[in-house]
Amino acid sequence: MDDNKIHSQSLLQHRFGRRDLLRSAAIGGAGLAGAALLPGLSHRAFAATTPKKGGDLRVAITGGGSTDTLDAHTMNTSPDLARVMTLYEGLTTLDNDGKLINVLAESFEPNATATEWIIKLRKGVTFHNGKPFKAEDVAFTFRRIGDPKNPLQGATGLKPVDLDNIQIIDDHTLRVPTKTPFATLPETVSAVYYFGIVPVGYDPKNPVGTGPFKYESFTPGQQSVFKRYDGYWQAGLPYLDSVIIIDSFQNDTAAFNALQGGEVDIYAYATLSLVNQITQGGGLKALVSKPGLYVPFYMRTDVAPFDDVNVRKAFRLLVDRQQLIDQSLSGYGIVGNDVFGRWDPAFDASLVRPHDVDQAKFLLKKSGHENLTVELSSVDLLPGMAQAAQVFAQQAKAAGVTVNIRQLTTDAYYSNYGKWAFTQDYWVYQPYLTVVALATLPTSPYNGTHWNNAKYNGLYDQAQSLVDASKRAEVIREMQKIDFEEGGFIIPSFNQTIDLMAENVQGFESANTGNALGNFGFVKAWLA
Amino acid sequence: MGRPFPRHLLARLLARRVLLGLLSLLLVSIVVFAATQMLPGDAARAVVGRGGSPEHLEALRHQLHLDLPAITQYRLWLGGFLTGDAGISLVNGRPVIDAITVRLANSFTLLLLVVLIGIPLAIAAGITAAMRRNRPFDTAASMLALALAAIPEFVIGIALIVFFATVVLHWLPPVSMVRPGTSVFARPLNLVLPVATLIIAIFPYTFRMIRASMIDVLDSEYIEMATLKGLSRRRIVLLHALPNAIAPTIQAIALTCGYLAGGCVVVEYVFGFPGIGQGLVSAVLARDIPYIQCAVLILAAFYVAVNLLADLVAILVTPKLRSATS
Repeated sequence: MDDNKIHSQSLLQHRFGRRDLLRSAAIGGAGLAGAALLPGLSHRAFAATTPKKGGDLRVAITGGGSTDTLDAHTMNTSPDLARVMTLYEGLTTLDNDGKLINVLAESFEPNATATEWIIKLRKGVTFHNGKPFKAEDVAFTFRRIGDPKNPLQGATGLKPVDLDNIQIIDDHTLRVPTKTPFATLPETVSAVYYFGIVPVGYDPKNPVGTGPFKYESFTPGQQSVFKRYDGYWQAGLPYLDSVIIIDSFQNDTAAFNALQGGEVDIYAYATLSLVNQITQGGGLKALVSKPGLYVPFYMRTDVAPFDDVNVRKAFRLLVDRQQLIDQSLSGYGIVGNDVFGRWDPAFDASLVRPHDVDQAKFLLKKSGHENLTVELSSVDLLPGMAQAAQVFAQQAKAAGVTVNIRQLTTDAYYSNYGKWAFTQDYWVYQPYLTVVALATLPTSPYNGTHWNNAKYNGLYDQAQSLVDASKRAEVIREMQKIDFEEGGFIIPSFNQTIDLMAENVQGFESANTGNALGNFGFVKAWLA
Repeated sequence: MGRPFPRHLLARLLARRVLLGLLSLLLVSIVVFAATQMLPGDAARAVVGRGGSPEHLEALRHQLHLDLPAITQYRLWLGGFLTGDAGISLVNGRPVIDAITVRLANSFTLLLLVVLIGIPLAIAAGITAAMRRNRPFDTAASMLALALAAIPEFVIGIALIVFFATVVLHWLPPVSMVRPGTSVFARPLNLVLPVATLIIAIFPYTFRMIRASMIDVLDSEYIEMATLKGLSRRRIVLLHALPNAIAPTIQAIALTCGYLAGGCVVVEYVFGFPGIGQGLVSAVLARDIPYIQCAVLILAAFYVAVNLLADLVAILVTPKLRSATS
């Protein structure tokens, strides 16, 4: 509650000052745990009130278009993410602090070598069509995702699983054998947008899940409506009658106008600088997430000049991270140390990257790369992303490096995805080893840095065979040391996501996954 | 009574123009298809985004026939289109024609309202200005038109939003949210700002056109004659001057309509209006070739038709041109 006092004080200023916000958040102790609902707030908004039932929540999310889908496992746009996380649930999820918790699973028991899992499932859960949720649905879902003829987005994550030999022990128990040790199965399947559970015989034309809201209507690039599922397994939830996701806005200004004009209740993934336009008494407030999202620069470790570890190190040292956060993110972020998995219990926070231009210059000189010129292939996928490239180019000058920015359209960027020598990408928070499988192994589909380090690969295999979390954490820390010393990622910051909303919207909590609206917590949202 | 109207010649002219129009549409479809081939990426890439493995991408390409040679893809599409099948969207598997007709109806409503309100307004203002040449109304209207012509329509749109919808007043909705499956008339207020923006955008051109040709006509000898005969000013302007001034303006109106068919893209972007332009932008981003082809062909056909119509009307109202066809 202390945080709230500080926040209210800052409201005395006409405009909301973000520096106060960050300072107060830092006082808040555990990271930015306190920086939840911020500006334009009256005291009343913080008062604990009983949630009210009913109402239709209208949510504007930009980035939608004709590629929108309701398929549980081929999510493509930001509004898709919102839809998928409304309709479906996974066996596990990450809570607002990034901690792994069970959802449709009741327990996971590995064998000693992490080559077999016994999964017990929650009872009393039904799909939107009334079918009871059973073990067969989990087997079906896994096989649908990993189908070798049509592998879906989660297929990489499930690669170790021996899909043909999943055994249904009873209605609520499965035995899942794996081809290679797979200690991180429970955390891997926490990505609901890859591993949402669908019923046997699932057809995306009839999108049925176990989530708090069920499908009502859907028009790609325009609007989709989801009604409360009365048979939802969490008693008393959800509160809202319906969630309406509107993604016909093609630009942020239109979405913000819609919010100001009262046409929508929420504008998710808002442009960061818009928070400054939220003034007291304007009827709007902001939900500021905890830092979780990250927008790394990728240096391809197999092409010149980035195949030289000195160059990679120099580039990491020349970044003034706080300045980058201030200038490209309007201050909404915390300093990163080039290692991902920020909220993984095994994360090594003792690794700190200084801003050291002299050392950067020295390394560049040592490796014969004085007056280096590189091309940075930048793309504007998220608030602040293109600006971060500009700031980086400016900062590089101090070390005598010329960075020419090639600003790509989204389609041009993706048409050569994973091949750019020096580029940007984005990630939401996932636990460390899960990201490794996706990003830094020779077999990873998103290995944008073309990282292939024999020792690192061996450590990964070792970690996957350790069922004891603390032993696994030791190996993870060794891997992170390699990331920190030699890797191709520059992670200047962990960013905060901002959603703007009308003052009467309640129940969303600040989360650190990097997704909007407290990891799309529609289940507990309500309208005052 | 004058010369008999050469109907058969007009019919021949019409037939030739229609054939030429169809030929241009075919060419348009080839050019558009070629352009989509030259852009980086394809529909499979767009659907998969960053989320797909190479295997997934390949499977999808095969499924969408994107692995076939470009010529074969074009032939398949054309064959379908000529038999009345506009195809299935590559990215969301829905029939293209369903998605387009709804948006088309919205855009057409917008366009029709703009033309029905904006053109008469501009004509009336133009005539009035011509009749009161160099007097305060003319000077003011001309200056205003010049100023408006210099402002891009998205600036006009944003200014209107700021003034009427968000910052100053809260009278009108700042965005045009239309529930899919309902008509834009379900909430007519949605239309006010987009229509106003486009009217302001087309006003200067039409106004200046009609004013200039009206002044030309009013300066001509036969009008002087009519004035000397003592006819009323009103009669002279409406009955004698206007028919001659309107012919060049019809071309201007046709051009304006053609411009509106494409120019509404900007307004749809600013207001989030669910029209054909917005659908087209989204389809281009997704490389949804059947959708792009169908939408572009409809817009091109509209453009061709409007020009043809304008030529016909111009011929009908201009005695000189009427005889030239014989």
